[in-house]
Amino acid sequence: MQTDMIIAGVGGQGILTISAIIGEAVLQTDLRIKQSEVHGMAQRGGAVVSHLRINQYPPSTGLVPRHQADLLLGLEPLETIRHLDWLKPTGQIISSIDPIKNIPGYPELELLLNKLRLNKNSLLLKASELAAELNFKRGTNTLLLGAATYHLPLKATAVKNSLIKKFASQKDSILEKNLALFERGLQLAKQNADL
Amino acid sequence: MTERKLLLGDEAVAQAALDAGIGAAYSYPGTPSTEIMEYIMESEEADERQVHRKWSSNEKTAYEAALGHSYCGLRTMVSMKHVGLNVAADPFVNSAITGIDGGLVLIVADDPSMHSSQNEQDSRFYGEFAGIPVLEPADQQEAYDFTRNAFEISEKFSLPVLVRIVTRIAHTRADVKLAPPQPPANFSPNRQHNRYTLIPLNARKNYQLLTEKREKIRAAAESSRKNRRIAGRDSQLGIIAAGIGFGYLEEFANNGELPHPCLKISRYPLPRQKLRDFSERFEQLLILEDGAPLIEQFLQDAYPRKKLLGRIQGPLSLTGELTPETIKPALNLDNEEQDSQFQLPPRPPKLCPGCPHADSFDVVKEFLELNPKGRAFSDIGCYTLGYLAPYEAIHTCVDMGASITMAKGAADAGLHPSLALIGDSTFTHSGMTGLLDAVYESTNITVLILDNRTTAMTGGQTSIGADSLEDICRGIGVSPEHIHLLKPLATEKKKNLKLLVEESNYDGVSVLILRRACIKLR
Ligand SMILES: Cc1ncc(C[n+]2csc(CCOP(=O)(O)OP(=O)(O)O)c2C)c(N)n1
Ligand code: SF4
Repeated sequence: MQTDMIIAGVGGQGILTISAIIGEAVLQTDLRIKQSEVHGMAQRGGAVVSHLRINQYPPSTGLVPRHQADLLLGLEPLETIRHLDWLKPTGQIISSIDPIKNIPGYPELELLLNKLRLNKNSLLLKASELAAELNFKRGTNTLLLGAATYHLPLKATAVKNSLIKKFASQKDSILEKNLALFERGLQLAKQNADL
Repeated sequence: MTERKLLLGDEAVAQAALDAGIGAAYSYPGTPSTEIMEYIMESEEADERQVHRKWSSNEKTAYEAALGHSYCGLRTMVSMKHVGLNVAADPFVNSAITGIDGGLVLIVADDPSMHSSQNEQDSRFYGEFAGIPVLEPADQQEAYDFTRNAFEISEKFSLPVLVRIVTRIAHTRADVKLAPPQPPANFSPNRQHNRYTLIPLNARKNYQLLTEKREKIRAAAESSRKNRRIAGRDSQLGIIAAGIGFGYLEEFANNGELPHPCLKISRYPLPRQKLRDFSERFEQLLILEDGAPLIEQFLQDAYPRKKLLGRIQGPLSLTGELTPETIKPALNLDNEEQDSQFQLPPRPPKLCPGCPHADSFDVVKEFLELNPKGRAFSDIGCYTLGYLAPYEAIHTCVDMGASITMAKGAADAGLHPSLALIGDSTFTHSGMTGLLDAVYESTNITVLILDNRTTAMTGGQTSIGADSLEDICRGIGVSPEHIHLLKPLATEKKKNLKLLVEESNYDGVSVLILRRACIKLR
């Protein structure tokens, strides 16, 4: 069974880091991965997207066809909506509700969130608020990664190991905060699924 | 178990070259090829083995250095983006005539759909044109395996080999299985001076030899496993899938079985006989090429009456990259799901807040308001974003270096003021020779070198001439009193504008160097 995932957001938000952490986690298993990303022009505050596919066999290419993603992870609500067409009808949305308003004509946030709420499988997270609660404002991505992990064909420990590897060179306190946020995200996704 | 590594296609190619025992890698940055050289630069293996690896001024100098390294018997890789091969075309074509010594592999990353390029030219045509074998991987594993193999092919035929990848190969990460590394060859400079000295006396013989080699490499492509048939369910249609086109076709496999029989193409020159043999078995053919219709055009000429589905007769578009969605209609599969039609504001890239270029554009914009007859010829880099609102301060971007030379040509035609806006890296890539043309004729142009101390557009690679811009301009012959160093800052705007006005009125070449570091520079 293949798991197809889209990660969407804005340049500089750390999409490539999330993708790389999941990728390293896959390497700890027998599963195979392909993950595509766009570099270059897109990086300077523009829209950025990464496609990620995991399977027992090497996925054919790194591009997820429209209406086929099992999971859409959005780091920014407008970008989540921009990629809704990639999600399959039963697919899961996990999205941050924190807008990045670096463009003219940014739609009203409440309209965007209502649009997302129309989908019954959507988990909307006040990512920055939750991260601030755990005293780590910069850790929103780790929270979202934790929530996404619940829907991936990977053990949480595999993703955690790869997170530990990623922050190995940093202070212990940074790693601990990241792990706490990861657990929080995982727990929120689990609660949401149990509803 | 063999070692598995999570690698971008670019990195797989780089790792393959290291494992093939290269002595050097040469490159000029360009999306989507940049990560090839960056991987080699950061590689500990490369460090231990002292693999030579530094950025070159441009793709031509990179290619020629690679040829010189190969001349000494050592394996060499040179990498660039597709338009880079236009710059390196002269040594590329002529290196087919000299042949090589140590295996010489050129990696070219094409950019169908122009994610970050001026065009979507297809490098396979360059291979056909020059008589150089081309390999076209369908995924990252093949990118690794084919690059290893490319060095062997190169040495076997004494020809460079071009490995053509596309953005979706270059910038997709996959777990790649590595093969055991090979030791590097010994240093042994070539002694056959007639081979590398292309005076007509030698060139005619070598060119004759190349025509014989063309037949040999074509025969090798005909019999290669890289061009092979793969069974499929329904023989109503035959599919010819090149490179990543095969990957997109596999998307529609069912339990590992392809929907239709397929001829997978990954090695050129075109295996014409194999293409004919396959094509004759089907009434209808679908051709999947992620680029211009090279195979399709051949088949169209060979079988003018056959139904060919592809880019020429449709349903695929003549332009743009292949995607799983675009090939669906050709496979008679419907898109069951409707796309939603929300209108969302786009989020295009823009200059970083605090970017030095923004302050340069403020000056140029105001200058152009004062001089509506003036034009600002520009070039390629982060500063190309100056075309867009709110700056709207430049009028052209054609190819690297064209700002200075187009400004000169326009000045020759009577345009005044004629400005050229060029980045530091672009200036040393191919702006310097154009500046000499202008100095030679004392053309009335004003050159603004937007010196942000780096090659920012592609991620901040060393700009190898940024420390010598004044010396270069003086050396080329710009008179020292018309070379100015300015600081692009809001507080300096008045002063900078005044100087620009003064220098544009000087009847000759002036150079203003606007120097402030890119804010992304650590
Ligand atoms: C022949 C060719 N090679 C490479 C590129 C890719 N490329 C575009 S702009 C650029 C460098 C820009 O550096 P610089 O001129 O210093 O401007 P900056 O981006 O720093 O503002 C490169 C390498 C290209 N478009 N064409
Ligand atoms: S990367 Fe540097 S040069 Fe490019 S837009 Fe940002 S600040 Fe400007």
